Amino acid sequence: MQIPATETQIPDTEPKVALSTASVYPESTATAFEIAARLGYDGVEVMVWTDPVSQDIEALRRLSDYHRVPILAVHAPCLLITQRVWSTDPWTKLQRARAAAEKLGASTVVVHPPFRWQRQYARAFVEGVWRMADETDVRFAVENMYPWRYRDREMLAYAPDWDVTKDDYRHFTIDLSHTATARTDTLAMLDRMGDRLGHVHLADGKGSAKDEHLVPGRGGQPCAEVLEHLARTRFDGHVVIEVNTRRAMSGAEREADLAEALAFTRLHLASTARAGRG
Amino acid sequence: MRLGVLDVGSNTVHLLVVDAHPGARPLPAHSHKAELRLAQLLDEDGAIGTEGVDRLVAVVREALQAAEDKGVEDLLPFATSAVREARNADEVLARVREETGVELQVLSGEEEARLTFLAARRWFGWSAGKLLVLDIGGGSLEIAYGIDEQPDAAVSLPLGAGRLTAGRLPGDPPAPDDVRALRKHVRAEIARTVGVFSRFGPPDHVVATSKTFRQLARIGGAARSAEGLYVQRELKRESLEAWVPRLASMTTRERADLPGVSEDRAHQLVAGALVAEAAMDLLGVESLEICPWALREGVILRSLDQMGT
Repeated sequence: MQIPATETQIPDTEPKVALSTASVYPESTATAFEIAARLGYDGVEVMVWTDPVSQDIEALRRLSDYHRVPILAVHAPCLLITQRVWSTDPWTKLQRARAAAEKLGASTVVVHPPFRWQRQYARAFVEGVWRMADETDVRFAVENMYPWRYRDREMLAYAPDWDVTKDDYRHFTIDLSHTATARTDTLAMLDRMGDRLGHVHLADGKGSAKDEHLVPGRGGQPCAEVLEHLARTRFDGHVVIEVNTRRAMSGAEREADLAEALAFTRLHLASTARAGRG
Repeated sequence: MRLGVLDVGSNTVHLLVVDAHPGARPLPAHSHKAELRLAQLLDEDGAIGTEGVDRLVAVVREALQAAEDKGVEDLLPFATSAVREARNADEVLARVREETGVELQVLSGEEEARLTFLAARRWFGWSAGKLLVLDIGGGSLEIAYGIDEQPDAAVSLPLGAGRLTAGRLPGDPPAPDDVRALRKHVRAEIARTVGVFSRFGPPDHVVATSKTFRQLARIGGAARSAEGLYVQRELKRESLEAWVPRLASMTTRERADLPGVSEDRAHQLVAGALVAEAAMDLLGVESLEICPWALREGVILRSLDQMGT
């Protein structure tokens, strides 16, 4: 999407739009770099998970250099399926994520709140994240999650809370698939995060019990409003497309989805910049 | 006097050594364990194959040696559902007798449920009122209910986690259709017996024993086993319901990475969770408490009771 008339008016603080390497799953981390370059993303967020390349800083650096796509963020391995990636100790995972971010020039580490069974980690989490954040320029952006749901029941899987705005962190990540799954008021959460919002996972959702990660615009989340808010408030973090393309029938279909997500994002980031100034 | 209890279960063969005197706590002075997975060694006809019996004999022999080493004077050897339901149970028992001298006593499902109930009653005491006790073993599910030390109703169903996994959940991760079919089967089996318990009215306290329940409680946020026996551990139905689809979509390897899930049990956790969820749902249980004592403690308690007489 070209908007030549407004090019000079877009402030240089306009957020960069990155592709999460998780967005190409089941394709590999390497493929994500390739697609990000081809589609014109400003960078990638590396999801550190079972793909060995995602855990290997040297390999990531080579991919970034080869495709000329910067790594803007590192997502620490705190998923259910990455209990053993890098370390079984959750603090060690965060230290390694920080080291990876520093070495790769990424500004942000995305962190999930602890699972409830990680009792000691959960007790020390808020304080520990502050301590870690104080030791580096890298942002530890703690991500909003959601209660696990079965029919009309809810189970609290995260501690201290899936709603990270109930605790005090220096930086937050807002994820619009998670707000959908949580059936929470997204704009209110955005408001609570205020200037502590450091990072955005852009996706969409319809509020089902599954964390859907739809292409923005295909669910019920106020994706456009959020992007316009970011542009208006001169958000200085990154916007990362984290969508699920698992069901794409072909590589072409996956790329079309990722191109659409990028176009949607750029459009809504730019339209407000233009409207605000024009 | 030292008493040895040899438990030939569907997953493990377990030797407990207790310092026994009338009124003693049934706590082991020593414990010796071998993973045998008898429930999965059943062949197509439901018989334990030659290799399985060979391994059982070897493990029993090893346990006998361990018992002797620890100064055990009296041994109580018993077997549960895997041997009980093996088509060639007589042959298996005869071979164990001939080759090791151990006369395995086969507990019926109902006895299993009754002894587990006794252990849970002694653990929680009379203040617990009407107790409902659930136990998911490798071969069977035991349910018992009552207000005394002897339950008013005790049932054993062939819904053990190991047996169901071996027979009905071949894939890794299991195929969604298999999971759905198993869910239906489990619910139908349990629903048939619900009336046996519901006519006594609601229980005052619901407790669960077994490794399956302990693991499910742990992933739901209960304290680690390292925190000891005396920490209260709870399992909520809402936690279980949220976990079941997640567990079912994970591979064995991924499940083994969950807290408290041992590598050797990770494969059967999906079946165990489906049984636990169905039992809680159909019996109307919102929340239950984990009881660290179960069948083995029940066997010990009963034999300690009998020592005095």
